[in-house]
Parts: sequence; C-alpha cells; structure tokens
Amino acid sequence: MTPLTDESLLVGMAVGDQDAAAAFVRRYQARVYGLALTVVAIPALAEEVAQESFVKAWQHAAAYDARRGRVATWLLTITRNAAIDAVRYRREVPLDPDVLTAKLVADQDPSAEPADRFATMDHIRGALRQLPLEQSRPVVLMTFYGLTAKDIAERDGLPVGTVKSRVRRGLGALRDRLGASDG
Amino acid sequence: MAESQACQETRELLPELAAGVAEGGARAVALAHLGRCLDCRRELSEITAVLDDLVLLAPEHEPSPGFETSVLNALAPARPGRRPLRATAFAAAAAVLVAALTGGLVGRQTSDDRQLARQYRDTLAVADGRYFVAADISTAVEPSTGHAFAYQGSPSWVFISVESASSSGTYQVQLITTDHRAIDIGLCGVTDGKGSWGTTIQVPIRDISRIQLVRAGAPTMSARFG
Ligand SMILES: [Zn+2]
Repeated sequence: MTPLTDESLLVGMAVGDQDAAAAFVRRYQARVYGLALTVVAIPALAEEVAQESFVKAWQHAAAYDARRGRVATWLLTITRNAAIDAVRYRREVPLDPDVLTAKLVADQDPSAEPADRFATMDHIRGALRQLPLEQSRPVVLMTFYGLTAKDIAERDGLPVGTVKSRVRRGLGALRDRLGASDG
Repeated sequence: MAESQACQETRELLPELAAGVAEGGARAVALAHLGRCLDCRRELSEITAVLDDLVLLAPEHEPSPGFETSVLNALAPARPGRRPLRATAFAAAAAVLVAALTGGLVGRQTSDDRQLARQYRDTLAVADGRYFVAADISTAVEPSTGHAFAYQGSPSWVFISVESASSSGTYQVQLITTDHRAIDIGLCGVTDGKGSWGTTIQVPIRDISRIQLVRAGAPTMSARFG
C-alpha cells in the first residue's frame, strides 16, 4: 500500500474532508513549522506563521499548479512568504548567515527520508556547499531572512552594487548546478 | 550582450523580486518591464525555482502537540455537523485535480498526456480505505476525450473533465454500478468541446463500473473504472 498522494490530500482538504486535511497537516507540519522557525526564530510566532500557511494553502488550493513543482515546494513558498512578512521590521537576524548555511548543507541521514527526496535534497545541499561564502551569505540572508540588497550592504559594510552582483553570481551558479541534472 | 538598458535594470532586481523583498518604485518599474519582456520573465522564473529549492533545505522541526488540532480548527470554522459541499470547493478541487493528474497538459491531448494520466492511475494510492482513481473518458471511436476522477472518502465524490468532445451541449452524467444499475447524478455542460463538473455521491467508489455522459445525437462518452 502506498500513501495517498499530496495532490489527493489537497483535494480532500479543498472539499472539506477533515481526515484528508488532518493527514495533510500531519505530513507537512514538521517541514512547515521547521521553515517558519528558521525564519522567525520564536517558537510561538513560528506556530502562528505555520498555522497561517496551512490556512492559506487551503484557501488557495485552486491556484496550485502542478506544472510549477511539487506540493512541498508550493506549501513551503507560502510558508516562507508568511514568515518573512511576520518579521519584516526586525533589525537583527537570529542566526549568523554562515552558521545557517552550515546547518542547511549539513549531511543528513539517508535513511531518515524517502530515497528520491533524499537524492533531490542532497543535490541541492551539494550545490549550495560549493558556493563561496561571499555569495552564499547574501543569498541566504535574502532567501531566509528577507533582507534586501540594501539591507545586506548596510549590515556587511559593502556597496549595494557588490551585494547585488554577488547574489546574482551565486544564484546563477546554483541554477547551473541544479539545472544540470533536472533536465 | 544584446540586453537593453531596461533588461539590465530589471535583471539587477530579479533576485529581490523572486525573494519577494523588492520595494518601491524600482519594483514597479521592473514589474512593468516583466509584463513586456519574455526573456526577463524566463530569467525570473529560473531564479524563483532556485530559491524554492533552497527553501526545501530548512531543517524539520515538530511543533507543539496541540498544533494539528489548532490548524484543523482554523481550517473548519463553525462546522455545525456536516457542512454541505460548496460549489467553490469543487472549483478548487477541479483545478488541483486536473493540474495534478495531467501535469497541466489538459487540452493539449498529446500522447504524453495520456501516458501521464495512465501513470497516475497506476500509482494513485490506497490507504485507510480512502483512495483515488482516475480513468480516461472515451467514445467508441475516440480513445481519450477527457478524464474522470473518483475519490473514496467522506464525502466520496466524482469529478469529470471533458477536454475534447466532438459534440457540445448538456450531457446527462450517469453512474453505472457493478450490478448494472444506472444512476443519474447530474448534468455536465460542454462548450467548444470542453467542460467540467463534479458532485458528491453515496455509492462507494468500488461499486462504480463506469461513468458515462449521454446526450441525444452525440456519441456517448464513457470512463471505465471497474
Ligand atoms: Zn527584459
């Protein structure tokens, strides 16, 4: 027996099937809450953000577009945006970006997740690991903490143009490495 | 590079646009340019895909024990007993389903499309007595004019997506059960060969032999489940 697909749980949720909704929440709560906690760093606020993200997913189930990626990606993008909104006026980032990067790329136990998912994640970890810190730092600050190039420039005492070009080069390198095996 | 000045300025801002942190006038100018420039839109979607991938790396963390209950309460505010299924819920289900099951290729009717639908049918899953099945809708002469989906759950429901009917108009939708009863379950409008419709049903999904769409003067379309 295989578990129900994400899509069918989402459909169940959209038509008011409480058990499908419960299964969907159970399947994703650790990832949604984990991402929210990474961004906002305050457990109570992270739970609010995570809850809001599930509600938004439910409200926008009709906008889910399978061409653009898996349910996980879609749900976590909703979560990231909600989390960044929740800390928009924060002055300090909760964790040094290099420390966060080290956490993101840390080796994981292959037996802890399904093989295909592990392969995808390991591929992304490998791509990020290869970036020089001067590129990964602004990329991570922008992606996980919602900082603009200007914010990063002020924080790190760099010209805005330098930050922008490092971000672009970093994302370009990631795109090349991630695209290489997707196609 | 043959990038125009406007492209260059937009490219500068794409990472911040993709990350949803771009602000002010520069953002508005870049969005206006994106509306006109396919190359920049393509670049934006590639950068967005990279950011989406990075976000997947966030470490997992279990929320507190009451979390699931509180989310479920938020999802179903004021539910006195069984809530009737709303039409908008079906619109949502329709979009999710059709996109999910055909990879968004509905309406293009390629052999890839049909192959994908077949794969989904093979892998669609069974758990806890709930399951989801899909089947091609065909006529005597056309192999695939759409897809039918059925979900066994509470409630159980069926959903029909007609993508290339040879005859438009209002079709009577019937369930044919495995013991050969025909049950009218509603009407599905088809315009320019396309239409979609769904309803909750009382019949267990495993008792459905086929679903058919019948209209006088038109070939009967049928999806075989049994
Ligand atoms: Zn352009």
